[in-house]
Amino acid sequence: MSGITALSWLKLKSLCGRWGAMLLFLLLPFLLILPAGLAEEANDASSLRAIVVDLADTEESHFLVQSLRKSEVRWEEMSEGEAEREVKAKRAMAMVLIPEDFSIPDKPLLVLESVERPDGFTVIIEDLSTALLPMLPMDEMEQNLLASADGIDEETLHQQFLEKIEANLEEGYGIQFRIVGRENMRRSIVLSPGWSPEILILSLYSVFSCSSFFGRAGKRRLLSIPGAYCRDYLASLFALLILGAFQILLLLLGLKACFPEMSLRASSFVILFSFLLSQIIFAQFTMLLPGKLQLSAALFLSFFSALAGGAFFPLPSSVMNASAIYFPHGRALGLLDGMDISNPILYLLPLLALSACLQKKKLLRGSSFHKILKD
Amino acid sequence: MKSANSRGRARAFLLFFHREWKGNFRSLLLIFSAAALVLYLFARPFLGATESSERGEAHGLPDSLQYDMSIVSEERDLFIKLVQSNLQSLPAVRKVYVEGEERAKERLEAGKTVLYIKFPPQFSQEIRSGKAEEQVEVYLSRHMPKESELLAGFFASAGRALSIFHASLYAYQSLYQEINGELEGSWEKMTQLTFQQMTAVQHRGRFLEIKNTSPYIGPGSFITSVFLLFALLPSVLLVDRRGASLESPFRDRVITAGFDRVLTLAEYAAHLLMAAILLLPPIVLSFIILPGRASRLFSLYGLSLLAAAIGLVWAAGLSNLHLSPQLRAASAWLFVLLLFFTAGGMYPSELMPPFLGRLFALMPMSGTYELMKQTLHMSGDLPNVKDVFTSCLSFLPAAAFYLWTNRRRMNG
Repeated sequence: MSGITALSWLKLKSLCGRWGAMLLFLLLPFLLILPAGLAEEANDASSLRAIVVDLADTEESHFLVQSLRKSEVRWEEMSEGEAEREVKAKRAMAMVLIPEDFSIPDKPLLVLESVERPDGFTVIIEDLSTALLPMLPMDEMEQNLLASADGIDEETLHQQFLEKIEANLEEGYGIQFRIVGRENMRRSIVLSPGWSPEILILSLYSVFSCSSFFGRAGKRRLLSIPGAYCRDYLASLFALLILGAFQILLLLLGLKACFPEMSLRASSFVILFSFLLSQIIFAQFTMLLPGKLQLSAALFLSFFSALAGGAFFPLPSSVMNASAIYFPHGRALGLLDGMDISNPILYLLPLLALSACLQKKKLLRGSSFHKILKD
Repeated sequence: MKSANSRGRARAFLLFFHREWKGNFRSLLLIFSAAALVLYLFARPFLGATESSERGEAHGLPDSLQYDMSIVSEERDLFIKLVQSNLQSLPAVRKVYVEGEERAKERLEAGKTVLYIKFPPQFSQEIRSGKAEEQVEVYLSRHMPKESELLAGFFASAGRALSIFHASLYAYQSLYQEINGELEGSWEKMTQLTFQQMTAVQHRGRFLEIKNTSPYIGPGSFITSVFLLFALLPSVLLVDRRGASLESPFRDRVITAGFDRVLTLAEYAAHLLMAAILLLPPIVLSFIILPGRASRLFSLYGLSLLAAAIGLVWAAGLSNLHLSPQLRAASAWLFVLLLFFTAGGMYPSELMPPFLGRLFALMPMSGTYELMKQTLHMSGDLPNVKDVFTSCLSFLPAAAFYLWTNRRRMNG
């Protein structure tokens, strides 16, 4: 056992001693996860800023503006000129004009211009639609009251009606929604790739590090010493897993340090670690290919697994459920996103044993030791 | 003499092209098959899809990208109908069931619905009496976590709208009592009014005029990302193959014969042809997902070829660097990942903070990828010659990088 520990330590040192490997393990993850984390943070309705220009300046238009301001989107009121400048300078994503003749007629009430962030388009439209929604029956109710009221002029009734609505709202009339299990959920704008950068980094790490340890012709000489191949194999595996676990920890701690508001589950480490193990096994299988093809084939196969698993861009759930979760990358992403699927870690152990046996068989084939055994 | 030279170069080009093509044919075949298989898997849910709803169609959403949800309520009154029609008017919602909790749970667990909303018992009665004490619960699907979260986000605004609606109903009731001196009949009136407004809810979009905007086609960014990724694949092959060839005696003989440029051009042309072939599976996929947009999809194909052409010049430059095969492979893949990420293939560039957005806009693929995205905007114009020309300017830094690395290589 002490032999394996010493060998693992040597292999760890050799892996860390290469500047290219260190660049891959330490710098690249942060170059990817920092912008990705910033993008994830911006994927929130509260990051959208929109401007409303109230040309009507009436009670209804004020009510509408108040209603918009209660949204997660940062709605601000300003003059038309200022609004145009803000949109042109891309400081605000949309401008909404409430026309001078704003009432509740059967014609367009609002004019939406220049959405600079098409990703936020749906959020803005929904905000406007839901702000307008209660105003339609409100107008109908007011007309109805006016028809039955004698001696009350339209303006007074209108004033009274709006005051009562506001008083009712303050009193707590209304409906509260609770998202069960996700109480502090943000309002996302678009489907985001989530953990894809981390998954791609681990995938690259496992392929490159495995190519340095496994499938090397020089290992044949180990076969002549009893038990040496097994010790070397285990030491390589331990070294890869230790460094991989260190990298996962670094990724998780880095994420927590840079984005404290991000919620990380305890299972994230286990999921990422089992993904790493699956990638190491996969890389070992590709090392069984003829020498020249090993790395290219491993990288291309890993690319297609990542593509099919949705690691390059978010896949809709219909595609995830139909095919992506059957690929290692897709399963890991699905598990990290909280999908109701099982972690394949237990199935990986027999595969690991199989890959180790095949590796040994490959070394034996054609070696002088093999010939001796044959004779 | 000059014409003989040109003929000789043309012959050499054809020979080198044939050599390159033959050398890459097996890889191309394997990559093409894998690409076709993966894209078939992507397209499978869309192949068996039924007709998408009119609303979904208007937002460019195929049937597979529309979702069902359930409302759990013991009551089937006007209020529930109002919530149902409001939800049904969302573009991504196909059908809203009103049913018991057991059935709704069954659907949710089977992955047939994206979420269900549970109204407490006697909820309509409670809101009639004034304030509803209990909250409305929303349960999200674990089969579709991302979509359910996206849709659940709308409940915040829907809750606000319903609260105002609720408050106005009570304001109406109170004023009705003040004016008419009696409460009797006010609920009937309100019911009548609400029914009248149900149609307004369905068509509330007509109160909104949209100018100067071109909304996304639902799966547009997914399709453009696939195109960009496939356009960049031949760059990896070029770095790998050309890098290896630069260290071979064959290259030395070609350089001595003065045909190095011709060989480089032949390598470039062969890989560009590979890009044209590798982009065929994505175009078939996009025709399945977004049928009836042939002109836009063919423009997208053309722009992807442009992206491939730019990527190949960078890749040729990268292959000139003296790197070990392992480091060369790593740098080729990292280069592709970098181009894809900075162009906005993984995260839309709009989500990046301004300083990163400005930095990424300078990256080689950003301009072309923006054009590709614009092509799939529903009401946006197709890119014109000026746009394409501007995008072609990305060749300049790529060519400069190639010339610099080539000079370094030649100088040893």
